[in-house]
Amino acid sequence: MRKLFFLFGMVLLLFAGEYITLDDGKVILLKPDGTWQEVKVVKKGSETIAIKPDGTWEKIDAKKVEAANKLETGIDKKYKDEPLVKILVGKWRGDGIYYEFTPNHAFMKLKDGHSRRTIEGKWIVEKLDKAKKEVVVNIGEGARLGFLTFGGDIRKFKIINDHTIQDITSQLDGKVYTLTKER
Amino acid sequence: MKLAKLSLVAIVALSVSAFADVENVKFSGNAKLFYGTNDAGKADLFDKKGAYGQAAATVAVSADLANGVAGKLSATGLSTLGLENNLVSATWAGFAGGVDAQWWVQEAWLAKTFGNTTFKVGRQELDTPLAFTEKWNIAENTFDAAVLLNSDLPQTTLVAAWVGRGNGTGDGGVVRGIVNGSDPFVTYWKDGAYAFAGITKLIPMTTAQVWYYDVVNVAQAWWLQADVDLKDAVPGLIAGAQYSNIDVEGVSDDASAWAVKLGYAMDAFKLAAAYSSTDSDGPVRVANTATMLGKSSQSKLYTEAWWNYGYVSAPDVDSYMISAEYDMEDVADFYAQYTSADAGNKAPVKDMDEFALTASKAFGNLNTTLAYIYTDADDQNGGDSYNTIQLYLTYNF
Repeated sequence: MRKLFFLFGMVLLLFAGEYITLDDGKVILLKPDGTWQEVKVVKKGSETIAIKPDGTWEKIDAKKVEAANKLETGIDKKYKDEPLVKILVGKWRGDGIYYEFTPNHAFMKLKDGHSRRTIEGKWIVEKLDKAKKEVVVNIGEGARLGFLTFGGDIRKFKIINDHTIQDITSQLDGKVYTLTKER
Repeated sequence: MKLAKLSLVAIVALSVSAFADVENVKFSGNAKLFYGTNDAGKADLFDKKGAYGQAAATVAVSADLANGVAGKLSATGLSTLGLENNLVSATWAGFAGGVDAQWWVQEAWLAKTFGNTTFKVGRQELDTPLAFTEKWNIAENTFDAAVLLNSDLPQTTLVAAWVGRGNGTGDGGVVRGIVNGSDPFVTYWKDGAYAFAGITKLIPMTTAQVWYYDVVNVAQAWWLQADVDLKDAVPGLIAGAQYSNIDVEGVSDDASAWAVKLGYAMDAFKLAAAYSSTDSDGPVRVANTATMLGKSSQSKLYTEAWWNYGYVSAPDVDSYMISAEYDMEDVADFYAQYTSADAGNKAPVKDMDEFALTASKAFGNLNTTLAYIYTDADDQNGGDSYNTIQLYLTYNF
C-alpha cells in the first residue's frame, strides 16, 4: 500500500508543473488523467501562482511554464533571417491597409469597399529579390502542394527603408499602398 | 455565354500550361453574407418588407509564372439562400436575375511585363476615376479590357486602356443580373471606350494625375487630381483637389465638378473634410461610367456619401463631407461620416443629409462590419428621414 501511495505521489510530482503557454497566450495545465484545463498564471512578489478554475491554486516554478513547440518547416523559415525580410516584422499602417508581422504569424487588414479583407496565419517568404528590394510573402495559406497553394493571400512588398514599405500587390491595377512602421 | 466563359477559362489554362516555369499558383476565395434593413415607409427595422439580403462566393486561382507573366481566373456566384421566404424582400446585386442563383466569370486575365512596361489583357477590375470597379456591394463589376502601363519616366506611370465590355449596371445592383443564362457582359456604352493617363510624383510631396476618356460616340471626359502630403508642414496632414469635365456628344452643356479635401492622420486615427460643387447645367452626373452615370452610380469625388450615391455627383449640387476613423486595437475599427448635399433648382435630386457609423471587427479570416445609416433626403421616403442597419460578413479562404 505504501508503495502504491509512493508511486501515486511520484506520478503527481512528475506531472506537477506541466504548464504550457499556447500561441494565443493562454496557459493550460496537463493533468495526470490525460485531460487538460486552462489556468490563470499570476505573479505574487517573486512567486508564480497558477489559479485553477476549481478554485484551488498552487505555487509553480516559472521555468516550468513552457511555450508550446511550434512545428516549423524549412519552407516556413526560408529567407526569414534575411535583413530585408526582418524589416517586415512589426506593425505597418497605410491608407486603408494594416499589417502585423511577428516572426511566425501575420495579420493583414485591407479596406475592401464597405467591408474589410482580413487574412491571418503563418507567413512564408515565397520570393526575395535583393536587387529590387522586393519580398513576396504568402500569408495564411491552408495547404501547399509544390507550387500550388490553397487559401490565404500572396502579398508583394517593396522595401523602401526601415520605416517605409510599399505593398505593390495590386500594382497591375495601378494601386500601390505606402505603409509606415508604427512605433 | 457558356462558350464565352469556356473560352476565357481555356485562354488562361492554355497560357498557364505554356509557361512551364511556374513560381506559384494560389487557390483562394471568399464567401459573403450581406444583410440590410430600414424603416422607410411603413416598414419597421428588421421587417421582411424593408430588408434585403444575399450571399456570394468567389473562388479564384492566380498564378505567377516565369518571365514576368501573371494571370488570374475567378468566378463569382450569387444566391439568396432562400432568405426571401422569411427574412428579406430584396437582393443586393444582380437585380435582373431576381432570386435565381447566378454565376459568372469575374476575372480572367493575363499580364506580361517587359522591362518597365506591363500589358494586361482580359476580364479584370479597373480603378480609374471615371471607369472603375465598385466594391461597396456584395458583387463587383469588371471589364473586358486591355491596359498598358509604362514607368520609363522617373516617378511617373503612363496608362493607356481600352474597354470593350463590362457588366456594370445603373440600377443600383452594380452587376447586370443573369436571366436564363444570358451573358451579363455587354458592349461598353455604344462602341467601347479608351482611357489615357499620366500619374506622376515628380512634384515634391504631390501625386498628380491627369485622365482623358473617350467613350466612343458618347462622350469625352477629363479628370484632374492632385493629392499633396503636407507632412513637412504638419505630420499627417494631406490636401487634395479634383476637377472633372464630361462633354456629352450632341449636348451643348458639359458636366463638370470640382472638389477639395483636407485630411489628417495620426497612427490609427484619421480625420477628413471635403467640399465639392457641380456645374448647374451638366447633362449627366460626374460619376462612374461603368454603372451608367446613374442615380446609384458611385463617384470618386472626395465628398461621396457612404451609402446614398448619386447626390454629390449630380448637376447643380454643392456638398460637404466630414469623416473620422479610429482603429481601436483589439476592439474594432470605427468609422463615422456625415455628408450633406445641397441641391439647386436644376438638380435631378433634392437635398440629402446622411450620417453613417460603422464598426468592423475581424475574427481570424472572418470580417464583420455593422453599419448604421441615417438618411434625410427630400426625395426619399416622402421627405421623412429613416434609419438603415446593415451587416456585412466576409470570410476569406
